[in-house]
Amino acid sequence: MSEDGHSSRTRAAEPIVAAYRERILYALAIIATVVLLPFSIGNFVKGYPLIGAVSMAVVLIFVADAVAIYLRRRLPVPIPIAFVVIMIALVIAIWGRGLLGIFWTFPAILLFHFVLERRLANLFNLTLVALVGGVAFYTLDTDVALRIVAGQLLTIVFTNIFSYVVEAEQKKETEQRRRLGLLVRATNAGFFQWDRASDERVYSGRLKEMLGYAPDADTSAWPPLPEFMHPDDRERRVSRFQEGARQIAQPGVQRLATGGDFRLRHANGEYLWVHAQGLFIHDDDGRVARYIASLVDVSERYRQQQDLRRSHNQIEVQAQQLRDQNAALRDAIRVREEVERIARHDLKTPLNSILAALRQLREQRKPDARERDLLGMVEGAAYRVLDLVNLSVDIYRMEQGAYRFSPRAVDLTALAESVARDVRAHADTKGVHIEMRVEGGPADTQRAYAWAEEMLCYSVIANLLKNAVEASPDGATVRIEFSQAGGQAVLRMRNDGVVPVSVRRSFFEKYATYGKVGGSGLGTYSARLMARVQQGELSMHTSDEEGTVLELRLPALPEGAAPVLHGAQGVAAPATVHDARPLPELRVLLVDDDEFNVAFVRSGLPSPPLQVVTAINGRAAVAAARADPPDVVFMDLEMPVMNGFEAIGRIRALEVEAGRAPCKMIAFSSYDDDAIRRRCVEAGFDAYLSKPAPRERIHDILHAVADGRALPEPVHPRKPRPSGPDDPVDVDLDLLGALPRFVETRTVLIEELRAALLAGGRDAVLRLAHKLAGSLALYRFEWAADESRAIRQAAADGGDLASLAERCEALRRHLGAFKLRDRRDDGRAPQAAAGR
Amino acid sequence: MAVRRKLLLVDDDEAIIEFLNVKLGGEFDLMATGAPEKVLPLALDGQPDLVLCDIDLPGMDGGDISAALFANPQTRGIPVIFLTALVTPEDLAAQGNQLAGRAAISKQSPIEDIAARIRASLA
Repeated sequence: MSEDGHSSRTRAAEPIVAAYRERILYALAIIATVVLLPFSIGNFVKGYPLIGAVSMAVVLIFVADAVAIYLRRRLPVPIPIAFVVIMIALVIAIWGRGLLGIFWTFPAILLFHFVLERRLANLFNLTLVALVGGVAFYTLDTDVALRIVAGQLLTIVFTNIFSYVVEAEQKKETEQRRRLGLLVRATNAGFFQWDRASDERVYSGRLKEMLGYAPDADTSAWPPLPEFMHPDDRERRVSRFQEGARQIAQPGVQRLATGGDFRLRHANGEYLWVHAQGLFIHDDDGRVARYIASLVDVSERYRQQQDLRRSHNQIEVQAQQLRDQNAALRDAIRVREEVERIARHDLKTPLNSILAALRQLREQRKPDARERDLLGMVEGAAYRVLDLVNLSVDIYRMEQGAYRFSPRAVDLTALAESVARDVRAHADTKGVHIEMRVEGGPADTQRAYAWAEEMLCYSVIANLLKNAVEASPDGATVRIEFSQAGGQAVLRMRNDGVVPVSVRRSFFEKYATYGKVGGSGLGTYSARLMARVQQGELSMHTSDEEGTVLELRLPALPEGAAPVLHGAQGVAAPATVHDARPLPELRVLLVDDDEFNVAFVRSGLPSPPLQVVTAINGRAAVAAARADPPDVVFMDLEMPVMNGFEAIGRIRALEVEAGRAPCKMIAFSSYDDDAIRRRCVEAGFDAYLSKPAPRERIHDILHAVADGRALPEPVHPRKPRPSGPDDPVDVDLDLLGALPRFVETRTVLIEELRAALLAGGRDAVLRLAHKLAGSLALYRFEWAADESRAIRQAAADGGDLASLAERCEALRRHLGAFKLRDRRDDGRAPQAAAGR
Repeated sequence: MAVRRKLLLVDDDEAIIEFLNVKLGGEFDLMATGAPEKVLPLALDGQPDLVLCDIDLPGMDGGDISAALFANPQTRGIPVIFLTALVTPEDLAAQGNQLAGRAAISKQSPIEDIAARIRASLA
């Protein structure tokens, strides 16, 4: 087979005469012998012995060449000698027989052309024409001689044209074959061919290589291809081949066999996977005459698939393990979060009670010095625990990404000094000295500021300094340096202790602790969390030579930000002005299930002038409000039987029922996060107080209620409502196109709202009214938006739903006949009535 | 030429989406969905520069969406602004124009304020 492209390359370089020279010469020799011999003998008979002799010589040369070619030997008479002999014979024949001799020149021209290389042939032939022409002019008429020469020249030209065209075609085909060969080689495929008539099997060189043999290995003794197949594949492949080979098709048709993968035995005894694609070639009677198949080695692919399957199985096992671990982890996290949440609330409640009790003790009797110290210690401990609980709440918010970072100018030097004072007693016991330095001068003359939160910075620096003092060897120095770099305020704290190698990687991880009895593992974790929440970073470097350096980076002050100057205590107390007037005469309802809290708050609400009623849960509060409507309610949120949210709804409903002005409701809870505050807003609370609330704060609220002022922590300052449904609507011109559809869909929503109100579906009412309020507000239907909100609020407050249905009718009328005012053309009269 | 920033609008009310399309479409490239569960896939796929999200949505509320975006490292940095009808602009101002630790703006605010807030968050 020539698919490897080797054999065709030799032919491509030579003209057709060279490629077929021997065959042409062989054929011409036989023909010339057969044709010339009678004429040669005839010349002897007719009395032309010389002509007979030279023609016989030519015949003998042809015979000798034909025999040599047949025997695959070298030509006994070289072509040039044969040419000379033929020339002599022709000249003698023309000389002797005239025109009759001329006829032999034409086959001679063809002979030379096809036997010799083209240039040599043309040289010989032109020589022949010159000689023959000379003799012809000498022996024949000029007219005849001219025509003979012209005829011979034309013959030479035509043969040249013919061979040129053939060679060009052959060159083209050769090039195609060469490209095909390259292509086949590029596919790296081996070929197998089977011929039905001869049962001959041909293996290409590449196929032999694939099977581990030399490309030119003799395959004549090889068994049939199925013998090379893996026993498991053999029957399937053979039956498939036989099924294809039995089919009858149109004569000459080439039909693709079913391709597939199977294994072939390699010379080394192993098997390789091949992909085979076969072609059945049908002969003139429609039966399969030949089968050609290409085979590609796909062992690597199978190996990869096997590896992949193995990996997949391993991954599946690991994934299942991970799923199990995740499930366990989720359970653990859920339990932990639940415990933490409960702990935060449940810890704060008794702590508040302790603090309240301590304050009562202080107030009810004048403690002596020792008692004061003891009370101070207990209070200090309670506040530390409370701080810890609050810190855990903040950490939780930071972890959830819900912490609100409110930066301001913070004097890091003042904070560090304050912390240093706190830990000095501890440092003194170890003889540890604390030294501070601000870049450019000593700490007592220079200040270092950051754009951060004071409490968070305090916590971070306190954590770092306490740890540094603990880690320092006795008598060593902890150095704190402040500097500015790259728009950041940098605090570096260095001590001579070294963090053990085993701890370095987990130094900032949660719950990672080392060498500290009772350590929570939250200290460094929360310090870094706090640094990051403030858009800063906290890092640690430790080595035997340098000791340990904790580096805190925080944003530097933005341009124009003024630092806040602190007093000697470092951290400034919040600036509040307490209203010290006598308390007003108000009816106060105090609702809390914790008797200590009730006792504490109650103790700060003197009666007279106040009338204070207490209730142990929401239900009792509703009963109390019904019996004696209060002016102010302080309502705990988490209570058994009925919680604060349900209670406020009931109380608001009572007020609507009785036509009373709503009292002021203050949510009062240990929960202190944005979600709870938001929920309180939705539920209709007027203010929120987080426990423990200072007595002064409660008094300020009472003064504000009595004065009719906004509460100190307002959640519901209302803007004045538009005057009414007849006011023009400020729809933007850009929205005019969308307006008809908007009005249409809102009308449908209003109808749904009305139906929900009549059916008593409170959830649906809340949802629909909320949807209406939001969209109407955006489209500037301000009255309608306010009205929708009012409906929602009334429904949320537990109001009678059916009575609100009338307001839906007003909304529907408004949308049906509103007046439109162009917002870009403010000041003009309404342009259009755009009702439906 | 300045690059147009991409916003993801989340609201289950088509009228709101239509309104924001009309008013903000000239300045921003907008994607929108009313299905809260599609917000994370859309944000991962479209990588918006900001998510403008209603709070009261069916199934998940705005807080859940915000938490889901924050929990994914690829969407953690995308600022979220709550657009809510629950609170008036005055209430929000009293709370530092934020709800649950995230920037928020009332649906009662003029669209100019909403657009200005978005620009400020993208700056």
